[in-house]
Amino acid sequence: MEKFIRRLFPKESPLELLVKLSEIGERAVSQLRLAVEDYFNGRDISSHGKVVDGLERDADKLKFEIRNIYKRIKWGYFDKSELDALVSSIEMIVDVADDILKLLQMNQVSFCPKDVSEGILNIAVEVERAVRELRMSAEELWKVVESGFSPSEYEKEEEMVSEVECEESSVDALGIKVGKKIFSLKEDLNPVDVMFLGRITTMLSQISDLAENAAERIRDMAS
Amino acid sequence: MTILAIVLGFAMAYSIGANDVANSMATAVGAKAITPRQAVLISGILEFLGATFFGAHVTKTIAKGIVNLDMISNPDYIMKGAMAALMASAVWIIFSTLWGMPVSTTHSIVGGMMGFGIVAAGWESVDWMKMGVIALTWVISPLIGGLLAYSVFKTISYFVLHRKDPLSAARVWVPIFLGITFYIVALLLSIKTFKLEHSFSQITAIVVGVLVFAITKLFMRKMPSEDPYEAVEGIFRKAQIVTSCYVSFSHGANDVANAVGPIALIYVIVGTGSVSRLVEVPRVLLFLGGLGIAAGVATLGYRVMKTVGEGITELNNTRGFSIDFATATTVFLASSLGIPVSTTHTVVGAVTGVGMARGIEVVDANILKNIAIAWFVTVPFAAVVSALIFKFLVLF
Repeated sequence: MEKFIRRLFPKESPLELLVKLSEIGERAVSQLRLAVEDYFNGRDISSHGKVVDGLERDADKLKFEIRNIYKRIKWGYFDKSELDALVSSIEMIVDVADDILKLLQMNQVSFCPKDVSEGILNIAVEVERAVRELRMSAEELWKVVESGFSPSEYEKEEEMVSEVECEESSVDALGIKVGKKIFSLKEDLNPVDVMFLGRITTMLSQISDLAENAAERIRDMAS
Repeated sequence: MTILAIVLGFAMAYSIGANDVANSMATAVGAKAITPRQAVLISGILEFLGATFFGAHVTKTIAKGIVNLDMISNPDYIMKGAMAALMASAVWIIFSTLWGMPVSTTHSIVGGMMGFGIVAAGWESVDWMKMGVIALTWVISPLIGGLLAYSVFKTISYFVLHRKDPLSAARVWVPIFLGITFYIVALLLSIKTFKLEHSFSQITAIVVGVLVFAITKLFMRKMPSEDPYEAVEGIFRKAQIVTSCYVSFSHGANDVANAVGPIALIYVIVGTGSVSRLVEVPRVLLFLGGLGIAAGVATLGYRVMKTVGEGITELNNTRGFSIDFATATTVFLASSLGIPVSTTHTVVGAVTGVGMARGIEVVDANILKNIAIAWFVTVPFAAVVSALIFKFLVLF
C-alpha cells in the first residue's frame, strides 16, 4: 500500500534522461572533432573510436529507458510520438558520429591539402557548436516545463532553436564550399580519397541536419 | 467486549497512521517541502487534532448512518455487528495489502457495517439512499480533487509562472491561497464543531483568512530573490508546509471514523444499553482514535514516509501545493458533511488533475483501473466477511 502513490510517478524523469542523451550527443561530437583534428595530423584515432562506441551504447540504453518509461505514461508533458522522434534524432547524432569515426579508421588519405583539412575541421567545429546548442535547448525544456509552459520561456526556447538553425545553415554553406574544393582537386588527388573526403564532409553536415531536426522538435514540444 | 473493541479499534487507527498517512503526505515529502521526520511530527499532531475536533461527523455516519439500528432490537447484535465490521475491515486491509491493491479503509468499514446490517435485519435495514450518496462520492471525490488540482495548478501557471516577474506574482498569490485555506478550516470548524451561528462563523472565518493573508504577505517580503522559478518553488515549498498540515488535519478528520465508528456503537450500548443515546460521538473515543493514528505515524510512519517520499523525484512544490490543497479541501469538505471518502483515492485524483494540466507526468494507468476494481470489490468483500463473522459471533 505504501508504494501505491509512488507508482503514480515515473521512477526516473524522462526529461532528465533526455537531457542526459543530448549530453551524450554533445560528448560524441566533441570526440569526433578531436578525432578529425588527430586524423589530419596523422595521429592514431582508435582511442576516440572506442570512446564514441561506448557513448553509442549508452545512448542506445537511454533511448530504450526513455521509451520504456514513456510508453507507461498516461499524462505526460509531451506528445509520445514527438518525444520518440526527438530521441531518435539525438541518438542518430551519436550513430553518425560513430560511423564517421569508423570510416576515418578505414582509410588514411595519402595527401590532403591544408585548406581542405582545415575546412573539414571547421565543419566539425561548427557541428560541435550546433550539437552544444541542441543540448542547451534540451535543458531549456526543463525551464519550459517548470514554468508551466510559459510563453516567455517558449520564446527563449525559440531563440535557442533559431541558433541551431543558423549553425546548420553555416555548416551547409561550409560543406558546399569544402566539397567544391575537394572535387576541384579530382585531377590531383587519389579518386578514392576524393570520394572519401567528400563522404566525410557530407556525413558531418548530416549531423547538423539531425541537430536542426531535433531542435525543431523541441520547439514543437515546448509550445 | 468494550476492551476488545477498543483494542481492535486502536489497532485499526494505528495501521491507518502507520500506512495510510504516508499516502496523504507522500507528495509533501516527495516535493521536499518537508522531511520524513517533519512529516511524522506534523502528521502526529495534526492527525490527532483533526480526529479529535472534526472526526465526529464521519464517525456518526459510519456508526448510525449506514444501518438503520432501530430495526435491530437486540443491542447485543449491534455490538457484535460493530465488532464484525471492524474485524472484516481489518481482514480485508491485511489481505489487500498483501495483494498490493490500493483499497481504502473507509470503503472497507462501510462494507463491513452494511454486511452485518443485512444479516441482522435484512436488506431493508441498510439506508440505501445514504449508501448511494456515499458510493457516489467515491467516484466524485477523486473527480473533484482532480478538477480542483487542475484549476489550482492552472491558476498558479497563469497568475504566477507565466508572469514576467513570477516571484512578485507568487508573493501576491500564495497569501491568497493560504488565506482561503484558513478561511475554509475556520468556517467549518466554527459551524460544524463548535456549532456557532452561521453569520458569526462567517465573520470569524473571514477575519482568520485575512489575518493569515496579512501575516503570509509580510513573511513573503523577506523571501530572497534568486532564479525566478527556483524562488517561486521556494515560496511554494514554505506554503506546502501549511497545506501538508491541512492534509493531515483533513485525513485525521475523515479517517478516524474507520476505527472509531464501530467502537462508538459498542461504547454507547455498553454504557447506556441503547444506541439511541448516540447523539454525539464521545470525545474520548475520537481522542483515542487520534492517539492511535498518531502512535502509528510516530512508530512505523517514518520508515513508510521515507520509502514513499524518496520514490517521488519529479514532483516540485507548485505541483505538490496544488495536489495537497485540492486533496485536503475535498476531504475536509466531505468530512464536514459527514461523508466518508478515501483520502488516497482523492490524492490520486488530484495527481491526475495536475497531470492533465501538463504539470506533472503521471504513469501507470493500471493504478486507476485498480482503484475502479477496488471500488467494486472492497464493499461486497468486506460485507460478506463481516456477515460471516457476525453469524459466528452470535453463536456465543
